[in-house]
Amino acid sequence: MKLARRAALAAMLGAFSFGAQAADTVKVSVYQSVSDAGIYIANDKGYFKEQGIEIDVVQLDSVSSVVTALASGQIDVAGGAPSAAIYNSVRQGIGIRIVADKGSMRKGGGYICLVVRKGLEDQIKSVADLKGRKVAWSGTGIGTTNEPALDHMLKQANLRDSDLLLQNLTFGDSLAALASGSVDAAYLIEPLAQSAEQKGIGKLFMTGDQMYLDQQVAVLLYGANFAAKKPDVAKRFMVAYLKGVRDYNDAFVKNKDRAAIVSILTKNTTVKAAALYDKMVMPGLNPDGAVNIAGMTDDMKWFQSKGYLKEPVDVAKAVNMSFVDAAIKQLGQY
Amino acid sequence: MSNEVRISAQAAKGPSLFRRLTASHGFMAVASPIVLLLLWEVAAQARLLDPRFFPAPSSVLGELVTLTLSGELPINLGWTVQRVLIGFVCGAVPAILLGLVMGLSPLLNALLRPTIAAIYPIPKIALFPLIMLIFGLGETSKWVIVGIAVFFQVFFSTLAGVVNIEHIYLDVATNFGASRWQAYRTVALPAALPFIFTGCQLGLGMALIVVVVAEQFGTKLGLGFMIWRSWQIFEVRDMFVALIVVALLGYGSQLAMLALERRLVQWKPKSGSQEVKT
Amino acid sequence: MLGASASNDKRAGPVKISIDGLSKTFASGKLTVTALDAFDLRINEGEFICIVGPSGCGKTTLLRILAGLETPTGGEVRIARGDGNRPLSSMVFQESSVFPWMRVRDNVGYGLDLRGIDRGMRDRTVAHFLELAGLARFGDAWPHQLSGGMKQRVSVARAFANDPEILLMDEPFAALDEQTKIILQQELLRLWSETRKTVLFITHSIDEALVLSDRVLVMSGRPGRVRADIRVDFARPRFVHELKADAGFGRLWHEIWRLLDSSGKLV
Repeated sequence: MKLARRAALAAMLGAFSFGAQAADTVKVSVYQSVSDAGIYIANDKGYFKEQGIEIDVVQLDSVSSVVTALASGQIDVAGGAPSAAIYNSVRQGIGIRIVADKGSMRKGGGYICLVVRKGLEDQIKSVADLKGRKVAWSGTGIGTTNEPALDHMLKQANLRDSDLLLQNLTFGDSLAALASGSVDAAYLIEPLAQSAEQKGIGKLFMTGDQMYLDQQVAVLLYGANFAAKKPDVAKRFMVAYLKGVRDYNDAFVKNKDRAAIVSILTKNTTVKAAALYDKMVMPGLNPDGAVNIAGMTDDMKWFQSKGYLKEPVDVAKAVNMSFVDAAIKQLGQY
Repeated sequence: MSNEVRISAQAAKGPSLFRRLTASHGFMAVASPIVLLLLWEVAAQARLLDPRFFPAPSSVLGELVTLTLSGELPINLGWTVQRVLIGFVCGAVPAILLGLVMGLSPLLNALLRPTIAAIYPIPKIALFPLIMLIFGLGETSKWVIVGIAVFFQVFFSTLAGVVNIEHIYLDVATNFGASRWQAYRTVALPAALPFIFTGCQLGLGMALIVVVVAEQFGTKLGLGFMIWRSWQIFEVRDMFVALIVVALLGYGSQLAMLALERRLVQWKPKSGSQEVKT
Repeated sequence: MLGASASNDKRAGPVKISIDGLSKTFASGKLTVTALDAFDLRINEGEFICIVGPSGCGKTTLLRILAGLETPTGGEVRIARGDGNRPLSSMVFQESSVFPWMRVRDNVGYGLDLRGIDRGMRDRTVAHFLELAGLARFGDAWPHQLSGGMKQRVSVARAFANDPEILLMDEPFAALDEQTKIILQQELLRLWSETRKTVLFITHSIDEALVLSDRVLVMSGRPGRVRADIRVDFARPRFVHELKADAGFGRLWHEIWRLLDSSGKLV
């Protein structure tokens, strides 16, 4: 029945688009990571085109660059993490808003994992065994979402971050450090974790959902100009995006049309080997775009306690689900 | 007569207060930055400048006081200063020695100059990953990178100073029987000293630039780390505080260098000094 | 007497400087310049010799060879050493050669400092020559505070204080005005009269040559040769204003002038 409904919608939109004017360009910043799947699928399957949108993809490397670009209107939409930088920006009146989910540690979808160096599996059997060990943990010290994950994991064994010898390396450098033996364990994002196992460098120890279930680690952001001045385009974007996310869930949760989706992802993301998609932990993307506000509030408070935020921020004010709501009104629940 | 010109003493008023103040260098040096800050404050309050990206000086000042009282700023400042000083010495001492020796020995000059000239154009920031690979992420790599940046500035200035020594002074040294070492001590070094100081001033400036960049890696202390971290968590005010402190540090170190030069190079004629006639 | 050749004057002391067949050629790429060619000269101890001649006649080259700043390409120079361990020569240059980074007293004591003479002896020597050169009040001054004439005084004092076997002076007063020149000539004579060292003094001024020297060597153009060797017999101590009034002065002046004029331009 769903299929029929979608077909009818497509036909209607198709009819509309015959008389439509030139497509609206939306500038989007993504990282070529698997959690950007919703955007890549929506683009390749023509959902954006259906909505009269043409996307212009840019790649920015750091949260701060993303925030600046969004605030100045250089980009309209970005993928990002709900980190201290986002909350600080919102607090300082920079008009960016969290508008949809782009990655969370739902059960089975904890796609950033701790990998233990090959050979140490007998010595490191539980979190407590990490005490005194050298661990590569990307993003420590700058208020990223990786830090609350670490904190949650350590709390399971009543440890603190000072009980470990933490090294702040990028995910890529962390893998290299694991391989060279200069660290005993590394926090790695998929597919690097899977890659480490396959190459015999390490063994998966704990997945992100086991550390901190339902942690919100990636979100879709809208710039203030975009949301305020082009609300209709923003809504249509969301419709296309959610359709892409739903196809993703169809493929990886329901195993429907998996091969086609995998080929879209191998084409657009950095994960080029189709075989990896069978083994790696796939990011959790909520098909209704929902975000974990309670979890983000906890993380915000944690950031404040660590001094990354000088004042608390009302997370609900940083979130704007109106576009998701409007899209669901049009598409229905998943 | 209607055709004459009179030259006589002027009415006793003298230049106005404004005239006198603006002529005073000391007053202008202090007044002009203050005027700029006031303009900035007015512009920020009147929303002519976006306060999100250009916070008003008053709020930055408030943050500066907070960070100073909490100790965070003095600690970070101390670490940066320490790295600059150690790196500076590591770079300047070999640079001066090498500059003096190569300036007076054409053989050594021909031998070493090509190597030095080849390394110089490489941006020091680009060398940093290599240095971290060799010396690790800790303090040593920071001293080395600062030392390298300082070395080139001081070396080339020293070399220029020695090469530009008027030949007649070296003739006097030779004629009066100075040994090689005596020629360095009595002629080369003192003659090159003003150039060496210029090189040191440039070197100090470069040291500060380089250390701020180097403090992004492998440390949680220092003004450079503060700037980088503020950018990462998007705390714009903190970034300004650290930037201003870096600027003040740069300015202060230049003044210190000038004062040192005035003490060690007493023989340079100051502007306006009078000659004694036969 | 006037104009007599000096080489067989029995009043002169033993030979101090013996120059035989001295040659110096400068080569720069294809260009070769012969400054001196088979130059011969005998100078006796205690003589004040002035050398006059057109530019490029090799007189500066001669002095620089004696000073150890150039090496000859042919021939030889022999300098008789006195007793004691004196440095061989001290030179006074035309351009200001006083070290700007040393105070006047440290400049004057430069040679002594290089030779490691003990502090007390050095200070006494420096004080003595500062006094003699009229610089007593300026011992602690920096050279940039002095005029050109004062700086040359320091230069001269420095050369004398070093107590060398011979003194070499290359147009030391050429850059100064007439009055300063006369004053310094007088000062030089005063300084010299104390120890009567052997002096070679280059000048373009015939006046100066006649005032200062015992012998005037007139050199010819490149390559340099001695054209005439003229005895100057005015009694010492000499005073410039007195000499100018002397009739013999004018005649000697003319003789030298003719010699110079016929061998080329004066300057």
